[in-house]
Amino acid sequence: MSAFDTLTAIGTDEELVVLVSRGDHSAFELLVKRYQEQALRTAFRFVGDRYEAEDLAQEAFVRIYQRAGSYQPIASFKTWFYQILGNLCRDWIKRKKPVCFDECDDPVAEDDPDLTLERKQRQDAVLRAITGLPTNQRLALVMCHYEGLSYDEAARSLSLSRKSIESLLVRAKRSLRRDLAHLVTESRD
Amino acid sequence: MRCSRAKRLLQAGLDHELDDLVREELAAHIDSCKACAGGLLLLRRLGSVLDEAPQIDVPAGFSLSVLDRATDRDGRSAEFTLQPAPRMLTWFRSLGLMGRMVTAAILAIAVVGGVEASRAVMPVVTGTPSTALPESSAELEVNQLERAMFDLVANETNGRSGREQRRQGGRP
Repeated sequence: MSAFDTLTAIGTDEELVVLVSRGDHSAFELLVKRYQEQALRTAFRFVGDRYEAEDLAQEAFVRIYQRAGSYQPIASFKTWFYQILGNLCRDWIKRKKPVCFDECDDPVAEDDPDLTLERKQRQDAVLRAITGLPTNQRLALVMCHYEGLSYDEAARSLSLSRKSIESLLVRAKRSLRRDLAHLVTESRD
Repeated sequence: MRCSRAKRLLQAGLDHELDDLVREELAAHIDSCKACAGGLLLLRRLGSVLDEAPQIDVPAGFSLSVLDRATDRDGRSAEFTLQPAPRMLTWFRSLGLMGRMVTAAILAIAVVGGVEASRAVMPVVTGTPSTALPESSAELEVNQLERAMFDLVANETNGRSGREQRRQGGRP
């Protein structure tokens, strides 16, 4: 069994951060592998651009590596991770270049080209609506709806109150219902 | 429950973020209010539409790119972090607090014992300052080694208590 396998077997996220703070690259690599999908998804749904998302996700991990020594396991690693990523997203908004909306990857090819086109248009519309939300609404939506964070976890990650998260989500959903009305009304349970 | 409150709670209800009592109140209200039941249905549909958001795949080599970027930025190259500390020191650090104390005590006894033993077998020469020097030098070395060992253990103990204090009082 390699050292990497051993870490996979025994390392909680919090234990791995302690190892990272001691310069353990295997522990860092394992943390990256555990959270890379969440990081990329969150960043992509926030910025709407694949390359910007990769850059943000990478930067989040770099900060985790640099700040591992100051991590206090009072809060879960997950909360700390989303806190760092959320702050990076907020910084990104402040220095945002003119909007260059990323085209989505081609969806899985379907037999009917019309269906493929329609699906792509729907995906684009959803992503455009999400990235059109104000910063905190967008972060709350991405974290709670897509990443499944509880309201308390999202509140800690965004340094907001639980009430604020509730309110942000209600307003975000109201805006999205308006912007995506054409899709919502034709949608069926 | 009034409709205005129910509308505010619908999303939290869908997200399973309400306590039991409020959830039951909300459910009872929805059963008796078509408008709020319609609002819940729209929220559910919106949730399904949002799930159509495009996915992003992790690019090949992502974790390695992150590692390169982290170590480059940090100025800590892989070679640097993998530079071994002196092997004995690494082993000593890997011991727990009790292990360190016991090891330090054994080492100290061994060194003192060794010095005493060598003194016993060495011909006794007295009266000149030059012959007294090696003995005092050896004792000095033993004292320094003992002090260094116990300082290391004491520092570790202080470091732990400091960390525990920060953990109790600090924030992440």
